[in-house]
Amino acid sequence: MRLIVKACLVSLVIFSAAFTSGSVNAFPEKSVRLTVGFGPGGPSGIAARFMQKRFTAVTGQELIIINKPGAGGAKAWSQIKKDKKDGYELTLLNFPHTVLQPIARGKNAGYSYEDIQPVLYYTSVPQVLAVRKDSPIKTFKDLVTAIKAQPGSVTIGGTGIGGSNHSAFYKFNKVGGFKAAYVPFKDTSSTIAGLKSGSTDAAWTFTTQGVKDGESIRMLAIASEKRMSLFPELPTLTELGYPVVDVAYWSIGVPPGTPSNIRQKVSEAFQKVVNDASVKADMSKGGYQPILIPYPKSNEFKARLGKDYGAVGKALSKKKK
Amino acid sequence: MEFLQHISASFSPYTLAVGTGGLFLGILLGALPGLSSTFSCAVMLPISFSMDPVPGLIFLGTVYMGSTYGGSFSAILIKTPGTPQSITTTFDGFPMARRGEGGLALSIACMASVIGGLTGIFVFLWLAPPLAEFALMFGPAEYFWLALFGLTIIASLSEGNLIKGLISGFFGLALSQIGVSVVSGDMRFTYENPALIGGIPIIPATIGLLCLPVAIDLIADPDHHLSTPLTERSNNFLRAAKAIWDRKRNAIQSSLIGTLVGIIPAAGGAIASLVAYAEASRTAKKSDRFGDGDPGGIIASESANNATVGSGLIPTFVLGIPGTPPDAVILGAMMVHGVQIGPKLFTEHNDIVLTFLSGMTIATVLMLPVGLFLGRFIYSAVIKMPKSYLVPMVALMLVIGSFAIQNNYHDIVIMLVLGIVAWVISRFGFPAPPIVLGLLLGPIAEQGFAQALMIGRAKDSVLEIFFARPISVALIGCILAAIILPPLLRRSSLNRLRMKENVST
Repeated sequence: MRLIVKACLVSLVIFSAAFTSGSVNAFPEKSVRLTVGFGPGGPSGIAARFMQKRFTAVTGQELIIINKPGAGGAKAWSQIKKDKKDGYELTLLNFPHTVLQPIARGKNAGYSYEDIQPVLYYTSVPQVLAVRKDSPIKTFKDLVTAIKAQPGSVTIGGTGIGGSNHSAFYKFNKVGGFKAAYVPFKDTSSTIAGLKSGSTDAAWTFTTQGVKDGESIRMLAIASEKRMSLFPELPTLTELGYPVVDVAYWSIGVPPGTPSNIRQKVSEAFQKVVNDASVKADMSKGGYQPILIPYPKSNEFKARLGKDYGAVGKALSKKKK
Repeated sequence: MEFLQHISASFSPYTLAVGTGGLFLGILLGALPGLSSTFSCAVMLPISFSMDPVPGLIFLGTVYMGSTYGGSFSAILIKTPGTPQSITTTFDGFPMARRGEGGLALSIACMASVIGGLTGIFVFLWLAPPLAEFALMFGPAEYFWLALFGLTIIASLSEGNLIKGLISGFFGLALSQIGVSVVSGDMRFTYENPALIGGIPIIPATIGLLCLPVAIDLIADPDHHLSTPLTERSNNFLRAAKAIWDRKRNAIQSSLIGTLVGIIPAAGGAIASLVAYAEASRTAKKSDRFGDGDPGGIIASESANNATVGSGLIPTFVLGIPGTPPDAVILGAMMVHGVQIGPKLFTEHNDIVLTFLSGMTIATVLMLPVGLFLGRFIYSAVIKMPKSYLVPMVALMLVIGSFAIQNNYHDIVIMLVLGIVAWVISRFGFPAPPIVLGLLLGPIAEQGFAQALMIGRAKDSVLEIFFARPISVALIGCILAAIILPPLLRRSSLNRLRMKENVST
C-alpha cells in the first residue's frame, strides 16, 4: 500500500516538475524536500518559493515544497524528529515562533527547543506597526496619544497568540507603559483584512505587507535596528524613543542528530541558491531582508534568539492566566 | 468593448493551450478526493514559474476553476467531495446517481459550473473596484453570523429527525475545538498527542465522514454501486439544460450568492455553496426534495462554488486580501512573479487584468465540452466497473486523498476513525453531513465571536458590534427566517399530508 501511495505521489510531483539543467554537485544528488509549517500564500510559503524558483537552475535538482499548515507551524515542527538525517528532508524554521511555542505550550507543543536545528538563516522580515490609509491616526504620535487617552480601548490586531506579532505587541507596551487590546487573527492576511475593514485600529505585521498593501495601509514605525532601504522614510521605534526590535527570521532546518558534515553541505547548497542575484532581488523587492548566517554560526544565532525571547515567552504565557 | 479585443487576442494558440491545459489538469486533480483547489494550485506553482506572469496566472486561474468543477465528479459518483467546495454537491448528487441519474447529475453540475464561473468572472470584469469594498464590510461579528447561517442548513439535511441532526452538528462543532485555539493560544483536547495539535483537518475528515460509509456499504451490499440508467442512450445534455431552465431562478440566485460570498475574505467556495444551498432549499417549491436527489441542490452548489473563483479574485487583485483559500496561492504567485497588485493594477496595467480575465472566460466556456465529454466517459467507467475493481480503487483514493494534501500519516488515521464512527452512528439514524458542517463552520463562528467580543469590550460596545451593523442585521434576518419559516410552512395541512406519504414509502 505504502508503495502505491508513494508511486502516486511521485507521479504527482513529476507533473509539477520544472525543467532541469545540468550543473553537477556533491549535494544534492536527488530532489530535496522542504516542509513549510504554513499555507502556500503567506509570508513563510513565499519565503520558501523564492528559493524554489531558482533552486533547479543553481543546483541541478528539484526543491519540493510541502505545505503542512496547522497550530501556528507546530504541526510541521513536531514531525522534524522523525525525518531522515540525510539532508534531503528539511524543514523551514520560523523564529521566534520555534523559541516561543515550546515555552508557552510546554509538552503540548509537540517539539522541544532542542528539536530545532537551523543550518542557514537566509531571510528576515522586521515587524511594523500599521494603520489603514484613511484612519484618523495619521502618525506614530497620533497612535501614542490615542493609546494614552483611553488605556485599553485601542485595538491592535496581530497573528495568533504567542507568535512574533504578539511578542512585539508585548514588548512595545512594556517599553511605553501602554495598555491596549490585542486581537489575535488566524493568519497574516486575516490580520490585514481586519485592519482594512476597520475592525481593529492598528496592527502589528511585517514589512512584506508594506509592499503588498502599500496603497491601503500606512506603516507608522518599524521594529528593526536600522531603517530599511526599501522604506527609507519609515522611522525605527528606537529612533522614536521606544527601543523595540522584533524581527522574524527564517532558516533551513535539519532533524536533530544530523551529522555535521551533512549540515555543512545543506548549508552550502542553499547559500548558493540564496546568493543567486535574482533570488536576492526578488526577496528585497518583496519586503524581505536577505541575511546569511550559515552553519555552524547558525547555532550561536539560535542560542542568542533563545535567550532574547526566553523572557518574553515566559511573560506571554504567564499573562494569559 | 476593450474586453472583446482582448478575448480575440487571447485566442493565440499559446494562451489557449495554457488555459485548456490548466483546466484539464484542474478537473483531474479536483476530481480526486482530497486534492483540494488550494493543493492543486500549489502543486502547479512551479510550472507557472516557468511561464511569463500573465500566462502563468491564467494557468493557475484555470487550474482553480477546473478543480472547483472537478470536485463534483467524485461528489456525485462516490459521495466524496473531490474538493471542500463540493461538499454540498454530495447531498443531492449522490442520491441522483444512486437512482440511475448520475449522467444527468454530472451534466447539470457541468452546466451550473459554467454559469456560475462566468458570472463570477463578469462581475470581476465590470464591478471589481467598487465590489472590493464589500469585502471590507465583513468584520468578526459578520463572520460569526455567516457561520451560524451556514449551520441552519442542518435542518434541511436531517432527513426528518432534527434532534439527531443537531446532535451530529454539535459533535462536529466539538471536533472543531480540538487543537490550538487561535484566539486564546491554548491547546485544547490534544492530550500531548502531536497528531491532534493541528486540530481535525477538514479534508481527511470529510473524506472519512462522507465516503468511508459508502465504501463499507459497497462491500456490505450485494447490489450494484449505482443503479444502471433506465434509458441508456438518453440525451443528458438536453435534459440537463431543461432542468436548469426550469430552475433558472435558483441558478441565478446561487451564482450571485456565490459571487458575494467569494468576495468575503477567506470564506471560500465551501461556505458559498452551503449558503446558496441553504437559500435554495428555503425558497424551493413544495414538490422539490432537497437532500434526496433534487437537481436544484446540484445547481445551487455548483453554480455558487464556481462563482467564487472569479469573485474571490476581486479582493485579491484590488486589496491584496485573498477572497478564497486558493487565492492566497495565486496572490503568492503574483508576488514571486513581481506583479504589483492594488488599485493601480486596474488603472495603469489594465491590460494584465483584461488578458487574464479573457483567458479565464475562454477556459470557462471550454469547460462545457471538456466537462461533458469527461463526465460521459467517467460515468460509464464507474457504472460498468465490477465491484471487485471499484472497491479497492475507491479505498485507495480515500487513503491517497487523506494523505497527499499534507503528507501526514496521522490524517489517514483520522479519516479511518471518523469514517467508522460515521458508519456506526448512521445505523442509529445520525446523519454525517452535519458533522462536516460543524467542523467547517465551528472555527469561523468561534473566532468571529471571540474577536467581536474582544473588540466590543475594548470599545465598550459589545451589543452594537453584534446587533447594530447592517450586514449583521441582514444575516440575523436570514437565520431567523431559516429557523422559523419552515416549521410554520410545515404546519399547513397540504405539507403534513406529503410528509405522511414520505414516512409510509
